[in-house]
Amino acid sequence: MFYKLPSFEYFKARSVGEALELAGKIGDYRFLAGGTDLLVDLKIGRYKPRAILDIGGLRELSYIINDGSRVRIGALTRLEDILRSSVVRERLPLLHEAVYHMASWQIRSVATIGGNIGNASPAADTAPPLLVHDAIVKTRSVRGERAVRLEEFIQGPRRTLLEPGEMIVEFEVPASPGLEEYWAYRKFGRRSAFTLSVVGLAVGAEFLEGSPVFKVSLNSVAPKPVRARSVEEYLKGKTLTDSVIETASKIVQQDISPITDVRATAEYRRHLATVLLKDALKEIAGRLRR
Amino acid sequence: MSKPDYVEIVEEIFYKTKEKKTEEFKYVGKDVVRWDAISKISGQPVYTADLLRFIKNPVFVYSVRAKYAHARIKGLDVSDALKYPGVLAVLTARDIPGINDVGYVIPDQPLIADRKVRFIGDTVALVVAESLENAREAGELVSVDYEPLKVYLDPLEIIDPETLQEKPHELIHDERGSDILTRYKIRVGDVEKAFKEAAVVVENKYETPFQEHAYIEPEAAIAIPEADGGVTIYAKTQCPFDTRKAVANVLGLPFNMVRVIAPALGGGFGGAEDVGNEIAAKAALAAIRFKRPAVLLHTREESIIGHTKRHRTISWYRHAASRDGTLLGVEAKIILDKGAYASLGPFVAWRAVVHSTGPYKVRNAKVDVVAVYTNKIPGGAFRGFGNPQVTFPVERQMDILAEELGMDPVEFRLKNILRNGDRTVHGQLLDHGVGLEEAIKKAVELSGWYEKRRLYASLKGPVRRGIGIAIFYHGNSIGAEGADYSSVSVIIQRDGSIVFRTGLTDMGQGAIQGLINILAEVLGVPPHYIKVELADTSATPDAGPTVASRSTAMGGNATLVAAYKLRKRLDQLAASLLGCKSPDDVVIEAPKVYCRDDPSHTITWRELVEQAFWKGVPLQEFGYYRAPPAEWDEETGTGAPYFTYTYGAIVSDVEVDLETGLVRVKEATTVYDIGRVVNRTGAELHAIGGYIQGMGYALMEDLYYDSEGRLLNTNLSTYHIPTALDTPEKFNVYFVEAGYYHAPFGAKGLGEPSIVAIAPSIANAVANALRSREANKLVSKHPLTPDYVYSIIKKAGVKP
Ligand SMILES: Cc1cc2nc3c(=O)[nH]c(=O)nc-3n(C[C@H](O)[C@H](O)[C@H](O)COP(=O)(O)OP(=O)(O)OC[C@H]3O[C@@H](n4cnc5c(N)ncnc54)[C@H](O)[C@@H]3O)c2cc1C
Repeated sequence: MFYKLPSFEYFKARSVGEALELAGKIGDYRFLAGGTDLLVDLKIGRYKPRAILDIGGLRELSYIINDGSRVRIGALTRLEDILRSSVVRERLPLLHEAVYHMASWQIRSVATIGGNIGNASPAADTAPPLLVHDAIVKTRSVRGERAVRLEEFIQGPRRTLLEPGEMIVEFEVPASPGLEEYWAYRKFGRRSAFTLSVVGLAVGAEFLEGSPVFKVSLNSVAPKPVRARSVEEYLKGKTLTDSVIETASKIVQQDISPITDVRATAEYRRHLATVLLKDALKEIAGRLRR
Repeated sequence: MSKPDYVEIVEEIFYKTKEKKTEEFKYVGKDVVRWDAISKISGQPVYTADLLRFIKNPVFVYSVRAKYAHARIKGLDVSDALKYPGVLAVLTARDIPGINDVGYVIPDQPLIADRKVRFIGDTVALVVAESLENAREAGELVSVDYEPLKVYLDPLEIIDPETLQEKPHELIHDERGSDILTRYKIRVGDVEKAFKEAAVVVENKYETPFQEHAYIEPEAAIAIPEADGGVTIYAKTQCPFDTRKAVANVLGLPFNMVRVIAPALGGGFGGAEDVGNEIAAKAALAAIRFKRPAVLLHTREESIIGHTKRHRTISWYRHAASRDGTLLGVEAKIILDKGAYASLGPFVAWRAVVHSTGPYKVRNAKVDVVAVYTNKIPGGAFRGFGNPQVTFPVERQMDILAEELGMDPVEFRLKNILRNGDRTVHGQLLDHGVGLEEAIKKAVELSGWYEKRRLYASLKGPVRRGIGIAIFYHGNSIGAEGADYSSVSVIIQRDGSIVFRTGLTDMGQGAIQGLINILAEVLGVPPHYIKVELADTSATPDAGPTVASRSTAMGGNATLVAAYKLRKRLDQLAASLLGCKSPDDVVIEAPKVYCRDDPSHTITWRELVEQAFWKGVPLQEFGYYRAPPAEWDEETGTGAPYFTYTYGAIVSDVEVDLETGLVRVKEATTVYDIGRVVNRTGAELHAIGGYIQGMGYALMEDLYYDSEGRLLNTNLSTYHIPTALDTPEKFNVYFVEAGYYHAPFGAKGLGEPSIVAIAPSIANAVANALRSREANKLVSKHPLTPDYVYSIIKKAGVKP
């Protein structure tokens, strides 16, 4: 009950190559990035790996590159670096906003984006913006590289498509002029700061032949962060009138399956999903009118 | 009978300075930098666990806790744990040389459970090992053969709320023969008649939650064996003298062989009372046994499970009023969810009954308070101590009554509050300093009450605003709980520096600064001349417990007495050295000392002290003060329970989102009558800190148990307290100074009062924002989480 760290072998990788080699060899290991999720999980006995592979110091995977139609973010980029990046603020404002509301300066200064996604928590706050952007997760192992859509990559609570020996190396985040301008983010927690999402929501609009295509994603309302496909389907080709917004925010119920926990009841989460979506869509409608 | 000299001294100074404005004092009421601020903010080793770095060759003590919330212990096997590397011993109840009990008020709580466990925090064995890690690991290997018993989490399974009789059930405290810990009552006037004659009656059920102290420093204790068979213990404890008694009992030693020192505490709020005794006793057991320093450190989870909480309550209130808004009678039943052990529950229940009708003129009252054991973490002392739990329902009732009567909540209160010359519900004559009316009026003015009431009623849209008031009174010190005395010693050193000693502790509340200001004011020396020694049972005089908002009034009186006596002697000496007309003409403005009519002719403070040394004028003084005994009639609930009361009025201005139920406090106004402000910075920060802690209690804090009695939120990631971003954007803080003649310059306590009426002021503001008669009644419990507020909005059909 009174948590203690179990014993394990500790390896500190000096390069990505070395990390992957070690991972391939050891088998029963966990990567340690910032450790802000992993240490807690080790203490409560969620994982009991034989070895810990410390990749936290690998600066080669800490970068934010503005690459034309996309932004590439290294898996070991710290949340605080993301928050301070002008590239992220201008091209991925949803991600900037989500990270702004995450944890505290102390935690953000060690926590990484790869850890947030690698941890695959239903409450991961970088997930909704990344899902709206249709981010691609790049992984690497001694066998080579893979690229998987984030939406498929996270499978359920703490489950991903990551294979033994594989490491997340990069997020490739498609950017678009639409999402730079037409977006809204909501995070509802148990208090105003330093809190996990009771419901988190990212909404954005892209343009296809001049008309908007809406993308909606939520966390903490299902076993994993989700895209609200029914809502998106419904909004196809529609103008955001009050009644359309009203209907869309009800349809979101089909996309979610929340549970009750110490942070909120399932019923209340359902209610919040609708309220937050309505609010966010109104904000975007306002911007679209201008 | 003539008055004791200490009473005469306190009165003399009070009346001499009664008309003097606080601004005119030199140190009293000024913003003085706290004596310990620099060492704390610069990270000096001031807390118990910091001292570990000075300790050599320690053993570590770890508490193995219960696996069930209610079970009989049939057997205990420690053999595997004993074999674990580094383990020196596994201590069980049988290894206790003295009495196996650390109950605070009554002996109902074993230090180490022997026959049965009553909540998940009960200790079943202590592992002593060479490292904390080994002790913890070995703890997993202690195997206990339990016979699980039915777990009681709801006091209403044990007591019938109608009759207040105990229901047949499997007893938690079978050795007592009953799970009703204690009952208190008030029976005054003719309640039946009052209700019959009433034009308006309102009644409702209320609930208040448990609250965790969430202090920054988890508990720690270091025990060092002494050569003479005694033990010295550094421990996080609010009340070292109580801790000494508990440890001496457990060890079977006389008091003088147990020395307890309380280093700076990283927060207490009442939580560091019983648990301090427990951790000190555990560490001391190991230290004595192994003749090595013994260290006990709690993790946050152990802290949350292992120390008491604010009692949860369920209450039913009925109020009767006449058409013109005069309160006619009160009827109330209040059940305290006690948790597994009495702790300070009997006193909490008593304070609850005393304050159960609020600061109003009430002639007819029938109140019952019952404390009922359950299998949860024990309720104990927490800032406010039973008063917040009754102020919430009373102040909600007042607002509902006002609405029923069509009166403004302020007008309704002004019609019924206690003023100078009134008698409390207990029949106590209030013959001094009732600053309540002034406090209410000031709070109304500072908050812009009337304008906002009007403006907010007309706002449209999904985001509403509301403004609410709550008032209260709070008895200072311990009242009828026990003998109420305080003492300090002041020793002027030969270089003029001063050592100040008192058994009162600093738990971050900073009350000692008030004493320093008083001492500095009377002696005429700057506060930085004074060094405060740690509370130490072998070196500082017993000043009673550091609880109940008593440090400033009680400790302040003892300080005043010591300072006065020293000053008299020094004035005499200075007058003869300087040739002043009379000792009263001596001015001490250290380092300068001179006669009032000749400021150019001076000697130094240091010279004066040196002369005192040679001339045989004693430079040390002991200050003692004893409060008049409180009176309390158990049958009727009448008498004079406390010698004085702090009064206050709180106005909260909130925003309520009708779509999510989210409540945010935008502005807070707190006005307290504390008799006299002796420590301005401390008082202002208390007003704000108390508000924030009260806001957490009102909006987000609660404990969640599963059906087996296991706590689900055992750390600060799931037990939510407010962050800086949750605090109101604006605070208006003001103090009324309606002095008390038996207090230092008239000063009364503020530590506990600053939380008492926060939750009801916020709840009243929320109810105001909802603008619905039905919703007004539904705002009947807290925390007012978004879920809960939204459920009220839905049920009452409140529409944007
Ligand atoms: C006080 C506090 C507040 C928090 N607040 C928030 C919040 O507001 N919102 C939120 O979403 N989260 C929050 N978190 C959770 C956590 O900080 C984030 O999820 C963070 O981004 C995790 O990153 P990390 O680098 O610390 O991951 P780690 O703990 O190092 O790793 C997490 C998991 O991912 C795996 N992993 C890490 N990097 C890789 C990689 N490159 N490839 C493959 N697997 C990898 C690890 O093996 C581990 O299982 C909070 C945590 C704390 C302690």
